[in-house]
Amino acid sequence: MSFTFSGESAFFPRVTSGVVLVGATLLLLRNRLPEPLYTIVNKDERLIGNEDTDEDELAASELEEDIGSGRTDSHIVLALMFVSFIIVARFIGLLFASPLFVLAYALWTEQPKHVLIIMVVIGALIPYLFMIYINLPVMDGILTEALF
Amino acid sequence: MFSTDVLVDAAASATILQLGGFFEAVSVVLSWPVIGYLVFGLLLGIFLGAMPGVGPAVGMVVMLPLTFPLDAHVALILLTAIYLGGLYGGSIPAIVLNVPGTAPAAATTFDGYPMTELGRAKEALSLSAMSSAIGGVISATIVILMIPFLISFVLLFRTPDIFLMAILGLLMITIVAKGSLVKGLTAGSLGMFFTTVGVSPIGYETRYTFGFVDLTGGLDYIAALLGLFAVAEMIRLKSMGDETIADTAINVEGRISTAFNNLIKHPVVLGKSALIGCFIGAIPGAGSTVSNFVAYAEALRSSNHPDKFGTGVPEGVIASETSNSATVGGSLVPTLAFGIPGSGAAAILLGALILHGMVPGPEMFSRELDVTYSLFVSILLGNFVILAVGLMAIPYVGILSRMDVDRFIPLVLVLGVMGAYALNFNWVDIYYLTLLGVIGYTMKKYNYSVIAFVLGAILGPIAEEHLWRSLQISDGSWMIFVSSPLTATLTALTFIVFFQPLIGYTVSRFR
Repeated sequence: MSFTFSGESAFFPRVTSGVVLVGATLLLLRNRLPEPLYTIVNKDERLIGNEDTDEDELAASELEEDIGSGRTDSHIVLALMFVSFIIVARFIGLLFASPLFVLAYALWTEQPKHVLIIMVVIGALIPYLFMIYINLPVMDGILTEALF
Repeated sequence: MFSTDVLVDAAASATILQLGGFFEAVSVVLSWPVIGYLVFGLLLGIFLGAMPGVGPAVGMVVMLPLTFPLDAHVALILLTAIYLGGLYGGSIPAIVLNVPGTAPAAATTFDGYPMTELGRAKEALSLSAMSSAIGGVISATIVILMIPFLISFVLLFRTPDIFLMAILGLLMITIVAKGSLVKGLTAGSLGMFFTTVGVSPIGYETRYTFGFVDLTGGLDYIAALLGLFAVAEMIRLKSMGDETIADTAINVEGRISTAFNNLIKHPVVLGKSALIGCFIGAIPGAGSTVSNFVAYAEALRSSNHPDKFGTGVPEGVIASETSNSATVGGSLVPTLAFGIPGSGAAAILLGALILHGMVPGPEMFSRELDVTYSLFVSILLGNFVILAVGLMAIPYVGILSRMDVDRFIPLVLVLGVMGAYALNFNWVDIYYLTLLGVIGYTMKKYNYSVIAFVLGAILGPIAEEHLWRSLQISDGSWMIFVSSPLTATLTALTFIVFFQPLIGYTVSRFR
């Protein structure tokens, strides 16, 4: 749809996306590659450490261990909370969403009441200072734009 | 005879100009409020470095958008100070908790923590502060003395050479810093591809905007940095659970004077580690994560009592801390000269450089020489501040290392989002930051080089522009990339590095 630009402008994106495609395909199919491609794709070049270690297998086994111990939850929850914060902020603006996000996080991590209050105040101050000093439109959200 | 006199006069004028630039830099760094930013940056860096798992890169990236109103040299001094302070700060939890605050302090745990167990924590922390300061001073001095020679070398680089250096740097980072060449190249090319969204530097046509006006401005590399170093880091930090907090009270015992005596007993370890740090820092892609291990291994190799390493010998702490601090000066050389950072922190510094309208390369050693000098002078002076702060802060290090990172994570995220929004007042940057936060965490988890991605994202437009200009100069002939000895050498090096896995495989078959 947007591929209306000239050959000169298209050259660099073609090369970079081509490398990404080839690299991703090689990595995806690496266990089915013939020699010597298999060795080249799987070999980790490094100054320190075991060259033959398959890092992905290590990461996958760590992930399985994490799931077994229930340790994965916290960072997934954080990632989900962060994405929710961005979505909510798009609707009500960053000025109101930021302290709400900090409050939700502080409640989740069971912070003492005085720490929680300080965190929320700082969470509200950050967007406020951005608004005051560089006129960042932090109040703008889909809903707040309609209201104010 | 006449021409010799002219040459001597020219050399003398150049030296005077460089000396003038150096003294001007000293006066700038010592002026108010620059010195204030330097001290603030160092303190912030030490604080963040001392929090296990956080590190200076987070502080640098969050501060990056806040440096908009500052002058370029002030912004760069502030960020360099955070970098420098963070490297020293990383040694604090390494010594008192056996958890390196930053990767470059990993080797410090080998002898630093055993010293704490032996009741010599104060001695180990003092050694760390003194070694870091001396390592940083030696490295900065070496680089400052080398600048006149660097200038002549860097000024040889023309348009095709700059393009080749960008590609060579990307390849070097993928093999030196982390893991597989294919993974690194894929990550770097993805970073470069993302920069092609928006208006093309050639012909000013729009690319991949899909009709969205907000995408016309492209995807900002600072938002990428914020996503990868603030959001992804916070997610990674959270995945570490309670590993980042000390669960017992920390006793800081020992004597500072013993540390000083130990330091002057090992001048060779000190000097050698500083040289190793400076040299490895200057290798594109290597950085302090590598140098602290190499210096530690060298100290162990050349020691009269290698069997005692790992039981709390001062040389172990001296080697690791001197080298990681010395890396900062060295790593700025490829960053400023060729736009190739040695570490994540150096990549952020490179981003700041471009953000403030400077172009890494020959310009940094000609038109912007005063900025280059002021950076190295700030490292030189900053190390004295580290020594003073480091020694004064020893009684309080227990508090630093027991900070609950959960109190900082949401605030860093909010700051990151605000920073991204402040770039162009555009929600696209916030979406990009969020996307890269998730991609960045996954990349780290599966050992893809984040630095290669960042380098791709920063150098993409520079590489594209120089490639296009080179082909314009040569009327589309690719022979321009072998047209001079320097260009041909760089092309050959690029091919050697690219085919290195294949060459390695063939050699190993013949063995």
